[in-house]
Amino acid sequence: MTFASRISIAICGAVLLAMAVVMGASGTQVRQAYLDALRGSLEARIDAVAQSQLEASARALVETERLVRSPRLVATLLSGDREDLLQTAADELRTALEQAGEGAGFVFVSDGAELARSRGITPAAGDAAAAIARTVTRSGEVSRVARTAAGGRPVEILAAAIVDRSEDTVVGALALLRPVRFPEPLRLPDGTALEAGLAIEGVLHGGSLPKAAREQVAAGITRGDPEVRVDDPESPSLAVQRPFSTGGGALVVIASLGPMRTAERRLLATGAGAATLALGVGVASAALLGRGLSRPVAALSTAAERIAAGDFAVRVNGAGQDELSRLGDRFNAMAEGLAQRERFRRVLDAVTDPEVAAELVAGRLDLGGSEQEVGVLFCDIRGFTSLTEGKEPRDVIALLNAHMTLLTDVAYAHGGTVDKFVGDLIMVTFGAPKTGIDDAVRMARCALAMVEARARANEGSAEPIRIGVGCAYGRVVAGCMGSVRRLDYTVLGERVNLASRLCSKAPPMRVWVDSGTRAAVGRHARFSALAPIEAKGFSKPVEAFELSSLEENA
Amino acid sequence: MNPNGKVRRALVLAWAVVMLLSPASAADGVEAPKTGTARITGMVPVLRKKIPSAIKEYGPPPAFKVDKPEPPRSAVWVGSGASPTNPATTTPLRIQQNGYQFRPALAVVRSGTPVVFPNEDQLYHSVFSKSPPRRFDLGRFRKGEEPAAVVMDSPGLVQLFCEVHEHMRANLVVVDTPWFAVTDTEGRFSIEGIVPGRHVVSIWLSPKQTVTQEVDLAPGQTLEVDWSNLAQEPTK
Repeated sequence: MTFASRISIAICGAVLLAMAVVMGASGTQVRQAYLDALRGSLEARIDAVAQSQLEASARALVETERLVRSPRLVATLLSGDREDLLQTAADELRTALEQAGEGAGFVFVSDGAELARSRGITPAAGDAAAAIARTVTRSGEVSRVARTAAGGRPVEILAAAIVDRSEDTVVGALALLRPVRFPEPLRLPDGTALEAGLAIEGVLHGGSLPKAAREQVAAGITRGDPEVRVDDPESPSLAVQRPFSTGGGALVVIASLGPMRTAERRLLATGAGAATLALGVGVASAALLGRGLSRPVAALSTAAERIAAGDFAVRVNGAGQDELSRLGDRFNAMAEGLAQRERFRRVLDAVTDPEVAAELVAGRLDLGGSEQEVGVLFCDIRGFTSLTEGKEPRDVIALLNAHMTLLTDVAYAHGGTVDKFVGDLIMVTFGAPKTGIDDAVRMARCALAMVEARARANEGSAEPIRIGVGCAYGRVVAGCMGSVRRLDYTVLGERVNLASRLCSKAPPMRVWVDSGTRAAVGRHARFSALAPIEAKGFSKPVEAFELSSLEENA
Repeated sequence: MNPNGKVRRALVLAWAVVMLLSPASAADGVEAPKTGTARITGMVPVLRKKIPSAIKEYGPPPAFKVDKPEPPRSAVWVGSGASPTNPATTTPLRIQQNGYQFRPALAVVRSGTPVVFPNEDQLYHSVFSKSPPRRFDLGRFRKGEEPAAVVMDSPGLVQLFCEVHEHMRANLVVVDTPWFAVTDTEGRFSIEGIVPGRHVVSIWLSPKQTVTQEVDLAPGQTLEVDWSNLAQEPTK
């Protein structure tokens, strides 16, 4: 998984979590606020409906109570003329009956029995009214209010005793039936409908709730719950009740929560849209950010690889103020430092032998030396003075460099250490600073190879260069000589001098060696003994041999 | 003037007219109308009656002084339909409204008698009846605006109401006989000039209670009766 994608996932996760928390919290708050506002509307509505119901009821009761005191009604009742009684009541109660609307009517009772009832009322409602009226004739009450749903529709019964005021005796009772009518649903601005209804004897009348929800509301109202919540997904609603103080039954106002659900769904959809948008923005910004991060990192990685491969010229784009840019700057500084060291190393390699340089750099060569078996090879140009005569110094240098490059390559090819150049002379050691098992053999082979390489280079050359080679093998002192501030790694000893002497004595394109070399190389080479030579620093003539060939696998 | 005396005088007058104009009745075996008739006197119950609470509900006296209703009495009459048809007496019966009460509160008239309802109070009254024997409604009227007389043409109880004052009530018993009386407040009564023979005597105690007794009257007899224990309701 890339760095960028990990950052993307982290950011998106955080964004989603935040959105979920915010939406959850705000959703709950919004719903709570909505319900609180709705409760206010419901309370206001049920107050208004209750007031209008009670006012209508009170008006009808006033008319009824006035009628039952009227001498005309008493006279008619005492006369026993039922038709006249009905007509009188219909005339006197006209206003109340008209206001009560269809289904309104009245019932008269006298002497414990029904005397007359008006047309247009259901038998069940009429019977219920007659029962209430009989109760009033016995109880001594002036009037009584009762509500019933006998006959299927809710009816309010206003019963009043008919008193003969001359005798102060109850001569009967009149019960007025008023069908309970509900006002049109009130529509709130958001479309919520507030419907009024009446709960009587555990049954809810009015409103448009389906059966199950209607029963649920009725049950809650009957239990006396001030508020009933129906979570039925088809008809979610909230109902409040206001029980009548007398006469039984409770007014109910029901709010459909459908609009709230719709609003919630809309909110959720908006939220989901916003979440998707935020997620998209998050992913995009994470990708951008990730790329902004991974590109410099990738560039650094590539650059580091190239530096590891030895390309110290590589640089990264470090312009900027951020951490990555500063890292790039540091990286560039490091590359610069590495390049510098590499240049120093090259110079070091060039001015001193790479092997020696490596030992020096590694810190294994201190000032001072040690005795060890070392092969020393000297090689110089025969007739160098005549060769350079009349030449420009620059041309001489070029000639010399080409020659030395050739010999140096040969020396390195045989594991030799180029000790120093002196004019047309090159000094190569074998076994210093590190002693090898075949130093003498490699020296011998190197010497022959130098002659051969020179001979090959001379072919077709206008100015053939002839060289002489001298080799010696034996104990010498090897080490760093000079001062701490300026030192050379070299070898000193009679073998070095001997090798130099042999070189200068050797005829052109010949290799002369000492007895040490001969002994170390042994039978692998063909030597021809020479006359002992005088050498500086040697009290008596020393043995010398000419090396002519070497076995291939020596 | 005592209403009883007035009624009695009217009855006597009516009886005299009947006697004069109806030879058939004289031929029914009554030889001497004056001497050959019988008489009933005695006691009947008088039902107790509360003073209506409504009279206290009007304005304060003296501006609006509501009198107590007249004390209760009972009514007695002899026979029904047995007597020859008599022409209506020309003198109308007066039932006035006075002190926010009907006076008299109980009267008996022979059918065909006109009744007038003069208002003696300072405020409006109305008089109406819903009783089947005679329904009428005189509407509201003031003192001096006396409406036309109402002729009581069928026998039976006519209850009189005032629409304005719900406590006011009068009971007018219309009978088909010349022999009737309203008792005094103790229940005493006396009826004379009754043709001898078997008769049914009706004793009206209240709109809901009328009892009857049978009597056999001999010419010239004065029958003393004590029917004071006939009532089913409490008496005074």
